[in-house]
Amino acid sequence: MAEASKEIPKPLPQITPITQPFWEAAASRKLVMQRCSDCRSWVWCPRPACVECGSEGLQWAPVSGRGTVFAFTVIREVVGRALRGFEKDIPYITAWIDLEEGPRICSNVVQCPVEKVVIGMAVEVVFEEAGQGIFLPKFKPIR
Amino acid sequence: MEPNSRLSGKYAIAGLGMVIGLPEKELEKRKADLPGHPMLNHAIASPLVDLSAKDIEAEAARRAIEDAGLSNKDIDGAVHVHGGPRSGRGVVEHMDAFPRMLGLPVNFYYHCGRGGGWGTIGIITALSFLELGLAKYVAIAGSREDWTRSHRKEVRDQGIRGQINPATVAGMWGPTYGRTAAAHEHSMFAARHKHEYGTTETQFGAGAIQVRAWACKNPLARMYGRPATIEDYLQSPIYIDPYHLMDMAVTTDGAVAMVLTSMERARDCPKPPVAVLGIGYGDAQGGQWWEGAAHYTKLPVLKAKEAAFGQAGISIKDIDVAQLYDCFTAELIFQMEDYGWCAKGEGGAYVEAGHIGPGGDTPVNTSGGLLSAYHMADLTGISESVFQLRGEAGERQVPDARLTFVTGHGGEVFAPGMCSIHTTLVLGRP
Ligand SMILES: [Zn+2]
Repeated sequence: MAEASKEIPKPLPQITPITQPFWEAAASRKLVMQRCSDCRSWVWCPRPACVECGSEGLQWAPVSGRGTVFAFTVIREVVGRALRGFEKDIPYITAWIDLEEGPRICSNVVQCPVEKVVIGMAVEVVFEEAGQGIFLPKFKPIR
Repeated sequence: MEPNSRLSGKYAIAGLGMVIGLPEKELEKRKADLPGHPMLNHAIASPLVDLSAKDIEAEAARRAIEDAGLSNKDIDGAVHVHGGPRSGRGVVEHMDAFPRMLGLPVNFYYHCGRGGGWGTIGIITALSFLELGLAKYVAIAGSREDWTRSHRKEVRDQGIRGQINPATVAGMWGPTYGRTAAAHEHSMFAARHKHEYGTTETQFGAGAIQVRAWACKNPLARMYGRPATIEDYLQSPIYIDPYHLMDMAVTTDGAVAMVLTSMERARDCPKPPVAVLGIGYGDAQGGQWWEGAAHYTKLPVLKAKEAAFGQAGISIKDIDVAQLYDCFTAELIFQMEDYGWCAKGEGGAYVEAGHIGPGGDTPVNTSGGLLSAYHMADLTGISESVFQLRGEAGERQVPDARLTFVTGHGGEVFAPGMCSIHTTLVLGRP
């Protein structure tokens, strides 16, 4: 039996009507966010109405994909079946990233040794294939 | 300051009951070493065998009623408290817990709770029954079996104390990026506090070891008999940066119950009454990413504190002993700042200076807290306040403790990974 066939899957996002445009754009390696067509606020996480003015006039717009690390931690042990797929990645970085446009998004810092990651570090988006045609936005250091 | 609330001091905790799990062998040893120690009357063997959370909750309630010098037939109101509908176990499973098991003739019974503020929220509900004349004596009880659950396969699979909410399920954050646990989010608050204020590993450790020192004075505490030095802390492995294991709360099987009544009736009960002097609530929903970094390293204390301290007519200088929600060590440091014992950013140095441990001038979490004693959410702090204000705290008694407050924390988690609520409960000797 090939080892590869036994690889433990990682949790995938649940794609809903509201989040579908985000994941469709990610699959074509584009990072998009909702923006209010009335007050111009960026809106994150995806939702039906603007958090600032209540307008339902939200439109998906591209963002730069550049940002900085707001906070991070190094996960050195996983507990529970939900994260068993991450065991092979230990130690890995989970982080909040401040995008240039303002939204603070959850992601992983990748393509960087864990001891090199610092708060404030400049990063840019990369897309990692997660299976079932889903691509997750992750962030790597900007050289 | 003058109290600004008509509730202030009008109602009291008249009875307390507790059942707290300890490993069976450890419990036997402690009973042999400390025969007849009153704190060990509250102990039970963990993991629970042939006992459910409902059973120990009913037992805690029975003890609280007995402690108040009452019988079951006197209890005409009841409140079951819990962490909310997403706290792991279904609420429904628990709805008919202790009042039915004890046959309490209640005029009103309800369940409520949110995050780690269940005890305080339960007290608000009990006071409403009393104030409206729906009941004369209200029993409140809550339980958890996190320790036992952590030994069961289906729970191990989910990850104990996992946090699941619609946003994490949706995959915008949470499991998709390899994080599910409270520690995954809370460790980042600590990392950010380090970054903003230069807080050090030693300062987080100083909080852990001072609370541990209190636990070593409480034979009911999980970590009793296991003193730790800062060297022990620094030499222990980092579990999730910047946290060591000692920065994180214990998991507990246990139940805590109390009886609330009017001060007038409480004075006729055998134990000294503990007055409810103020209750406040703060909500962190304002602290979203678009408001900048400021909210990430502080808790929504301000409104909660102003309400509770205002009702009681007190300031932070009047507090003799405090029971703060120490789910992680950074929350201790945040609360030292947010309650005004020191300026924002100075919490690390304040804790490092030894203020909060035994012998310090700001005794905090004298039971050993959630970090080193038992994690019954704010019921840990409420039970310890009752012991301190009655003068029943034994080796850890703060001399002449007259005024204390208890905090609660938690609730639904929202991006960026923050807990939504904070509660403040001021208790005192009448
Ligand atoms: Zn808008």
